[in-house]
Amino acid sequence: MDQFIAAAGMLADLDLIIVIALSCFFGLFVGAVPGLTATMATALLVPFTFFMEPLAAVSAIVACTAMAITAGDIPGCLIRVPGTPASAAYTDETYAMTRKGLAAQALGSSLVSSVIGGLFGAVVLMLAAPALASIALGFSAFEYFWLAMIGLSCAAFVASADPMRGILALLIGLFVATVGMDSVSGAQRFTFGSTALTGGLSFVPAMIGLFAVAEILRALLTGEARRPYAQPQQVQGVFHGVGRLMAQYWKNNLRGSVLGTAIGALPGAGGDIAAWMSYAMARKFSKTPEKFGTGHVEGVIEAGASNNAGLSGAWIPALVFGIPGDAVTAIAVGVLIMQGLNPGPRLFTTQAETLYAIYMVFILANLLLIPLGWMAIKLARPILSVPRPQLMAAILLFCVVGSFAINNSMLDIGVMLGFGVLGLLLGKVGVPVAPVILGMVLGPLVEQNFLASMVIADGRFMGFFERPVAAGLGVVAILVWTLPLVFALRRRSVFRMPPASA
Amino acid sequence: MSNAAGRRDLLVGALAIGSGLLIIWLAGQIRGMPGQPFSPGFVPSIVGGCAAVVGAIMMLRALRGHAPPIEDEAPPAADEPALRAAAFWVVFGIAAIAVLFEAVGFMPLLLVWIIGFLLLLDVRLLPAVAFAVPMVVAIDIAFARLLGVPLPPGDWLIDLGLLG
Repeated sequence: MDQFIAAAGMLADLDLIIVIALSCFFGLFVGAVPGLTATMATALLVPFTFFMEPLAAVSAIVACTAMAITAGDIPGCLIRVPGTPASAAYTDETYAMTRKGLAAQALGSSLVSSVIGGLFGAVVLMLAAPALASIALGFSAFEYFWLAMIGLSCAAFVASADPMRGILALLIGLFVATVGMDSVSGAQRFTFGSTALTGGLSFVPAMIGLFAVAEILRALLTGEARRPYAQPQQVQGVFHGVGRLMAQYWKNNLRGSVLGTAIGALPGAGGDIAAWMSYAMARKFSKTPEKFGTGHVEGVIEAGASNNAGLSGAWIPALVFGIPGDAVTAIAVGVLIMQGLNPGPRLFTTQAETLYAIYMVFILANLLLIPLGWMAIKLARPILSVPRPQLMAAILLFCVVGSFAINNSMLDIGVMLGFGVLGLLLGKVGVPVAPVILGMVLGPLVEQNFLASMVIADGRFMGFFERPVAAGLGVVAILVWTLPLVFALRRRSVFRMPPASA
Repeated sequence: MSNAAGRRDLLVGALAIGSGLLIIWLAGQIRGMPGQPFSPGFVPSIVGGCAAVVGAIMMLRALRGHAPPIEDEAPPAADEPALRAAAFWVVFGIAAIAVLFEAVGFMPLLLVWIIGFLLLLDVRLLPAVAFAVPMVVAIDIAFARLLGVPLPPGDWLIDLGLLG
């Protein structure tokens, strides 16, 4: 109880409230503009968080992403262009509702279900994270190694329909993480005699390059940069009748919230996948599945609850084990490490007040969604009137100055450019970029725990399975690696089977 | 191998094999500490080895025509020279900023870069300047004044005695 009171006291700080408010507005704007993702919003925010207190830095990310994911529904509903990938699952449904004159109902339902899902996820985070942390206190290098391997493997397999391309992205990130001085021996690795590279490649400029510069280059080269956004209709009475819909579809809200939190907590998954799965689930269990796709609110409510619940769920492995659930939490883990708050179970004993304050920020950010989300819906027309050239110019300025600001180094501007071009090329060949960031963030953790485990096990592979929890996690990791292969072989054998004779 | 995804996988696979082997060779050059059971190049060698294996699998399946299609494939490149020029302007502009940031200074360099970018996207000069100047000033206020980031003012301005 004392910790709760202390945490509430930490939140009652004017600077922190201003940070949260500004992050909310920034997230709403970025989320409502098609093509700018919640991950990009977080990437652009990180250089500012570098100058904040740890709690303010994390609060900024939490508030910004919650707003961006929800605001992503607005252009999806009004002009059929999802603001963020998390809204893509039900964009056609909400747009069909708009065409039927039900835009207000679509936006109101998705907004309120997002709040419900987000609050559910935050409560699960509050309850599950400390419980898991107390278990994780007994973990050794073996368990951490396997956990990190599960996280990395899931990220690689989930990020792309083709696991090979996902693994390749992950390996790029893991390699980049090895550049610089080896923390064990002090040896220089891949620095080619440059003292500037001794500290390694900074992950913030890399992330800005991958998520922002690459996106701008892509928009320019595909001609998207020239196309203005369609002008949406004005929406009135956003919350009219929404209470009745929430009561009618309470099961959808609950199922979306549970599934979203669970999927979000899986390393590598996140809100985007949660929304797709929840929409499919809503259709499967619906009494009127034939209405789906024609402007029916049921799937919107379930998927809307799911993507925001996934956002909170993704923080569970990030805070407890230091293993991010998605690209946003990968960035957040990097920010926590930069702020000296190494994520892991010990954080729950040494920084308990800060963690309680973070939980409260989750709740606050989700509650703020109602007034601010309403405001964003009202402001959809002016937001979508922002000319793209000026928007891209402003983002480019933030990219350059933000990258420089991290270490006051010109090298970081070069790193941002290099990763921007890399992100563009990877996108062209179908290699996802999110695993690159996960590899960069988790690389040092994997290497340290792998080497420590190898020393303890005296180089024996079976030594990695001698502790019960480690053995269980090891089996899960091996299943994650082998199951896609088994499924692929089964699919191939099914296709090759001769048709049964009648 | 008949489709575009296959050709791309072939190229990416070859690059992955080449890069993987290069990483293994470079990692082999890193000297360890006496008594250290695993060399600092041990983990990078594993990463390089895995990259080579993944590359080989991608090449093999591409050659056998089993390359999966590329999801969310970007639309074909726009046939607009001005947009390509703007993309080059972005890339070479950032490279120039990385090299000239200290000598030329943050404000003049970013102003020229952003105004040039807007002009290439058909924004007229006056609106481009009217947008760029307040943006750069706002960034100066936010980063240099409020956050204390030492954005370089430009050596030439200091040499001219215009800045301390």
